[in-house]
Amino acid sequence: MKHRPCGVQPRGRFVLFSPNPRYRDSHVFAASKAERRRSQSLAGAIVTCSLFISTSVGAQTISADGTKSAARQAYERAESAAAALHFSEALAAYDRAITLDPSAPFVRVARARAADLRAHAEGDFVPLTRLETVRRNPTVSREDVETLARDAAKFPPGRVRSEVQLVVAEAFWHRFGAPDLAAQALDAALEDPSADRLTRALALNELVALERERERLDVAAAVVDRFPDLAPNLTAEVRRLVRRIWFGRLAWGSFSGLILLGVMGGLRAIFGRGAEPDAVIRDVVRPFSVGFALYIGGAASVLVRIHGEGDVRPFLWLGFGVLAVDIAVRGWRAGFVNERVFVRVLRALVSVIGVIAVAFLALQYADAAYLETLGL
Amino acid sequence: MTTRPGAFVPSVGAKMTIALVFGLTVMVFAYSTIRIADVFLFPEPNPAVVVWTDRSRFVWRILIAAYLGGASIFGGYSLANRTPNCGLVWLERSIFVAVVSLLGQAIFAP
Repeated sequence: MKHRPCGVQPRGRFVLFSPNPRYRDSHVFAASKAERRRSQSLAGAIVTCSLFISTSVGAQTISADGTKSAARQAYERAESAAAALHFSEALAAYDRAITLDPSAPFVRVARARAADLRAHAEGDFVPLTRLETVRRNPTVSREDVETLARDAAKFPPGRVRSEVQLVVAEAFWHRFGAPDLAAQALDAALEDPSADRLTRALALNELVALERERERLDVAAAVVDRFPDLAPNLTAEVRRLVRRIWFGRLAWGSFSGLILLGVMGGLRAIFGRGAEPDAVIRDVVRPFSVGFALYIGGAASVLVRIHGEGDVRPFLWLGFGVLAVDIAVRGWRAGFVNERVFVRVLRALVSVIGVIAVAFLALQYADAAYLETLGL
Repeated sequence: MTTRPGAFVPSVGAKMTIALVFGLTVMVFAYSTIRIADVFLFPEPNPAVVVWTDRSRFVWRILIAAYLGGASIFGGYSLANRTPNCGLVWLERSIFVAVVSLLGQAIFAP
């Protein structure tokens, strides 16, 4: 190791670990003091930083807690305001709650309610306040509802107007027993161009249900024909019901006509051609046909019972109906004797039509759900 | 019923036999038709994965086919009673149709 010039002394750790005992003995204390001072400075800096960091984190935590609390208070204030029908104040409070704490659990509800309020904000919430005043009153009188219905005509365009008509229709229909007024209100909701599509679809459903309850399916069909795209399923259902009515009329007409023809043929055979009534009856009512009818109804009923569910009536009625068709066709033949091929084919066709008509009527009057499975 | 001279006049037993065979052929035809309809229109789940079922589709196909076959016995008897020769001709045709339908069902909808 090189010797340092006089007056230049090694410091610190160098001195402490110097192989030269001269330096070691004389400078140990001074070096130790300097080292301690430096360590103290470092520790102080660390403590200061820690204090600074912890203070700022704590301050942030306190600030976040305060924001969450303010958001919760704003949300609760909004709920109270909405309950008290102060919708402007409620909307502002919902917005504030969302802004203050967008990740709060109640924000989803707040967003939905704010959006709903905005969608019903026409007329500065005056129509909505009128609507809610009536809707929340369980003892609302007919005069109140009629006043609301009159006021609705003056409401500005928007969702509330049609919803008012729905509430009015509901009250007139179920509470006050005035289906005509209910139908008018529902029609007004349907015709409202500013109404929400869902509201109009609901109005269409209600109006169709009302007209079906009054057994005015033709009116219901006319309504769905005016708005075929509003509720396609409902439109298809009403059209199917109308079609079913026409099929039913056709079936009744065919069956009745065939029975009438059979009766006329039997009477003509007895009174026109002078046949014995017993002979005519024997010719018309065959045991074989009765057996077939019993088989059709009885065996099918046994199968239905084995199956465990279902209705045996359609099969029983089908059996008796087939027997009636058979008797009618034989009566027709007995009265109007004509064995030309054309007439025989005609009789066969009429018989088939009669059986189909009987099957349709049996299904329709036993349980119309069977017809739905067949698309009728 | 008027019968031409020399025409085949079956006994009651023969008529019953013709009617019964009609019923059986219609039953076979009905079974194969229902099976084909089941396979292509109402596919049933794989029997290997069905733990329990209240009703066996196979048994119900047989019962429905038997019902339809039973109904056709009346038609077969009526045909054999009125026009025996025609009844025999149609019996042959119905057997042929039943065999073809059963074959088709066995190949395409086993």
